[in-house]
Amino acid sequence: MSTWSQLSFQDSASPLMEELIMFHDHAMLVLTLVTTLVGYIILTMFSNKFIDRFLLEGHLIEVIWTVIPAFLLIFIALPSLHLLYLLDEYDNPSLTIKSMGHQWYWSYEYSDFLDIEFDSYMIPSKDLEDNQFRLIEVDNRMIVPMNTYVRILVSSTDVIHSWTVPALSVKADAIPGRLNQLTFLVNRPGLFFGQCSEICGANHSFMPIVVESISMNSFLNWINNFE
Amino acid sequence: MFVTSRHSEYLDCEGAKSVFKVSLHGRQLSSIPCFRQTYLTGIGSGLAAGLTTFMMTSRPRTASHVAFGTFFTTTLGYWFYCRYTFARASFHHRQLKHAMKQHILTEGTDDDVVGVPEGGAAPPTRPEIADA
Repeated sequence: MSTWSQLSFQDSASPLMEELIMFHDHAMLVLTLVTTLVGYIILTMFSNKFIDRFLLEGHLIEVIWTVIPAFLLIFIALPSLHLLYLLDEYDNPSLTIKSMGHQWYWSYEYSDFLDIEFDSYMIPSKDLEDNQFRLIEVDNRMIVPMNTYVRILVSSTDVIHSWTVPALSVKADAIPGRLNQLTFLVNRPGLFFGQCSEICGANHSFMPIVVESISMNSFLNWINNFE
Repeated sequence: MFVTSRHSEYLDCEGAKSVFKVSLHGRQLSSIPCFRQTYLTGIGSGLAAGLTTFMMTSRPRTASHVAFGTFFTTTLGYWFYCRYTFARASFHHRQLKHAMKQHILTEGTDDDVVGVPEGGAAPPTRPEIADA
C-alpha cells in the first residue's frame, strides 16, 4: 500500500510490475536529461550576444533538433512496445477466480473448487484493530497461492466498478454483462491492497480490494477448511 | 516536489556505518538500479572534460558546452550499458535460483541437477544450468 506523500509506485509483487518500474526508471532518466538540456540552453541564452536581423533559415540546426529527439523517442518507444505486448501474454493460468462488483462490496468465487464464494466488505473505521489500515482493510481477503499463475474474471451485478491492485500492475473494469480477464503471478507472500477505480455511487471509495498471497500448502489448507 | 533525506546508522559485521538516503515522493533513489553509478559517471566525466577544455582553451563558455555535452552523452550511454549488464546478471541470478530450488527438491534422486545419487548414475546434462 502507499504511505503518506507517496506519489510513486508501490513495491512490486509480480514480475510484470518489476518490468513496469524498470521502464519507468528508464523513461524518467531520458526525461530528466532532456529537461537539464533545455534548462542549460535557456541559461546560456541569457548571456549570449548572437544577433542576426536577416536570419531566414538554418537547415543544419533543424536537422539536428529533429534527429536527436527522434532517437530519444525511439529509445523510449522500443522498451515501451515490448512491455505493452508482454503485459498481454497468456500463460495457461492454474487457478481461476471470479470477482464480481456490487454496490458496494466485492464478491469472489473460486469455481475451480466446489462452493467457495464469499463477500468482501470494507471494515468500518470504528471496528478496526490497532494493526489495521483505515479504509482499505476488508473482512474476507482474496487468497491466492504464491508463484502460481492466476486468472481473475471481473464482472459486475449492477453498475460499472473497476478491480485493481497496483502492486500487481492489474486493473480491469467490472462491467455488467461482460467478463474481463486479468492474469498475474504473485512472487512474494503478503497483503496487497487496491481500491475500486470506477465511480459507482455513494460508497465508491469504501469498497477496497485485498489480495493475500500465501504458500501453496497454506492455500490448499484454506481451501479444505473453508466454510 | 517532496524530497526527504535522512542520515541513518546501522550496525553490521564490520561495525557502525552511516548511510545518507534520499527519497523522492516515496521512492528511494539509491534503490534504483544503476542510478548512482550512471549519474556519478556522467557528472565526473562532464567535470573532467569541462576542466580539461578550459585548461587548454581558457574559454569558459566553450568549456561549459563541452562539459554539458559530455555529461549528457556519458550519462545516456552508461545508463544503457549498465542496465544491459544488470538485465544479464538478473537473468543469470534467476537461473541460479531456479537451479538451487530444483536441487533442494530433487536432492538424492536421479533428477538432481547438481549431485550424483548414491549408487546411481550421473544426472543428465542440462546445458542451461551448466553455463550458469
